[in-house]
Amino acid sequence: MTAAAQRITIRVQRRAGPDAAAEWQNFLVERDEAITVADALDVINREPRTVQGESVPPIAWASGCTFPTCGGCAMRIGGRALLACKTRLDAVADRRGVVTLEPLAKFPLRRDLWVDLGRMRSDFERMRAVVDAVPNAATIVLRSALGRCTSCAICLDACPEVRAGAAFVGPAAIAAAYDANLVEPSSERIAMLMLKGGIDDCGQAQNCLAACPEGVPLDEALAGSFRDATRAFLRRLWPRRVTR
Amino acid sequence: MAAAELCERGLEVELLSPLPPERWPMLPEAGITVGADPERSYRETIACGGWLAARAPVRAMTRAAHGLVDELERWGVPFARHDGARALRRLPGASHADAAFVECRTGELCVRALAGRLRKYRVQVREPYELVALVRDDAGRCIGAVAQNLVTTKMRLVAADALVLASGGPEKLFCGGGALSVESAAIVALEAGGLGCNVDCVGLHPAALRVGPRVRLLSSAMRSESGRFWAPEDETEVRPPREVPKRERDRFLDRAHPGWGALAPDDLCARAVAKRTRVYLDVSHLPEAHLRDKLETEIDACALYTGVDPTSAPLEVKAAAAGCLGGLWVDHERAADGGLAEDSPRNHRTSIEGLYAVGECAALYHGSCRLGGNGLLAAAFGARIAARAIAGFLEGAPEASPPPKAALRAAKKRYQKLAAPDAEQSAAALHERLRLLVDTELGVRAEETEETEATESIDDIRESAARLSGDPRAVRDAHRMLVFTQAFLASRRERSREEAPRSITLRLSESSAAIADTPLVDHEDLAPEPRRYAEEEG
Repeated sequence: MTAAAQRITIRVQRRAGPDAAAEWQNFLVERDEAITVADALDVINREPRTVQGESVPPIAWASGCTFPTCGGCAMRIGGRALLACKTRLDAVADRRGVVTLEPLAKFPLRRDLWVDLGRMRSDFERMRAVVDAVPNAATIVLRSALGRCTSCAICLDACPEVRAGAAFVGPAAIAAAYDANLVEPSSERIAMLMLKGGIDDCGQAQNCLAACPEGVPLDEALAGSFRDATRAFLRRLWPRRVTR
Repeated sequence: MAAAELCERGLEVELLSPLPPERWPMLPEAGITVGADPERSYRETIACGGWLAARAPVRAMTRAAHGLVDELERWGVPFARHDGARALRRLPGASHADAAFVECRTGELCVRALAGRLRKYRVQVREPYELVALVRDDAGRCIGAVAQNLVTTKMRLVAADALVLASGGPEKLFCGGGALSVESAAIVALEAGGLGCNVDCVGLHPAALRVGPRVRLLSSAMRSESGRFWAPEDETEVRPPREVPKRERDRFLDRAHPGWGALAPDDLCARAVAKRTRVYLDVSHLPEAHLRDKLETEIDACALYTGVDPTSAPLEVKAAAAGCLGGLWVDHERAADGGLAEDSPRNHRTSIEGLYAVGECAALYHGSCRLGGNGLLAAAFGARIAARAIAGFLEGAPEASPPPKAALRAAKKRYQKLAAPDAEQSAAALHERLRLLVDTELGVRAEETEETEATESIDDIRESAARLSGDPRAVRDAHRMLVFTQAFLASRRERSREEAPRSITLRLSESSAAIADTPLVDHEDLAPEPRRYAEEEG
């Protein structure tokens, strides 16, 4: 292996703030120094220096744990939304040994690779995804699978219905509401699901299912939410006939 | 948890965090103690912690455990069930299965359930902010803080009648946190004159993976699901671990601790692992379906980082220093029944009036080694007790005066002074030197290291660290790590002079760490005796 082949070029889109112009900078990382993209960013940030030898400010990126726990390090890696801590460099480097990093596209930028996921918190709040009830033991397996969601926002980045000006809350908030309904069914929560931006806005592309890095059964959550919403709608029409 | 508890008591809360509240890093994932037998759990916690933990808070914690776990379940944590009843797992240091769990993601799901509570109470979350300095009034009371926005780098003054630190321990000095880890908040309080306690108590972990530039700690759940440690009998063994016959595998922990094996306390296991050249953690004798059910996250992570699938091959592991079990000294008030006077404003209060600490930045429940499952329990219980204490404190205390603007200027100036673009040593290099020092001399092999060796290295390091180059935040972090390492060494020096288990408290000054005389442990309830982990006890 040549010296060049032992190195990977990390190409990063840098922006000092939401209104600043984008600039591309290249950094070199030894292959044996870093296994994942998160490792590479850590290695670069020790003493950030571009390929041209220019000393630059550290790359801003959100990461709490650097192992797949917190879901904070979602970014576009080689054009796909992935978790930096869960993506091996050798799996995403192109033939020239280049890995391209950009921020998630559908969220307000804070700096460099760091975006503001605050809308997720308000979407969860809107969906009333909070419970206080003794859970049903029969739903534990499904709820444990739904609990894999780290709110990394990759499903929102992949969803064609989540776009500027659209009200859709996205799959993560709907899955959280479905999970809450499994513990403590709430007519208020189901009513929220039926409003604009709720389950009706899901186009069923299922990109979220394919993109989710944790394998959360989003299809089941979306289908279940459809079911709950339909049942609630029918119950409004024929209150005595429809039972759960 | 503390924020939600305070809101529940009708207090106005502002939460400053570098990360959204549902993304807290480095959590104990294996389980949370339910305290099926509180008295047994109490005794085991104290014994596991080398008789250093405060008796009354531990007793109160183990009594409250069952109720707390029930509450977490009501708030949405899907604890595993078996035939309708809650499934329990035996974790290191415990003689019985006594921890509720969700696969290997217990901590993660507890935090998300608590984030839901914050949404419920509409707690004002300010993110991404990091604590830079504490502000005290002339009488010494904490009246606020200086916090920095990590995006804009602007600092602001935060006024508060009381402040709670729940920032975790100094992870960056040990196994490394993420880019936004904020473990140095406890060090800020030490610098502001708060007392430290047992800062030399390092949490050791027997099963860590060296992954690229990091150390990854494997969840204790792997040991609890019948994981075994073994070392090849022949140290020069060259065969892949799968090909080493069973008779040539030395299951050293089963020999040393019959009945406990890999479930002996972390410190005993880690020291035994560190003595051997090559050690494997093996779960490959268990059915894959069982492993997938109980350990899926860990199995996937091991395969991702090491390329080894633990369902079919043993994993090579190392012992590592996982974090600090000591931290800020916090007070408590003992009740007549041996537990805590739970409404006392003294509970969880640091030596600074108006400043409280919970979770891993406070030293109260763990002593020198944490019982498996107690990490989450102590954090949740401590937060609840601290919230009650603050409510009590605010009832009797006058309103705090607004923090003066001079405090903001002083904080800015202080850290500007440390950073120098032309300095020979970078913050990253200092950080690395300190990590190496902790890893090699003060961590797993601390008992074998000559005290003078470590002291000399820290003196060298301190001399060269007066000015550092690099990003201002990295400079600040590295400086705090240095402060902490100094405190660590002073505490350790004092410990080596002690014969009986005793909590060591200290106060930092500009250039040194002075040992303070603040008794913490009430031995009368449970007197120290040699720790024994062999069959007759198990």
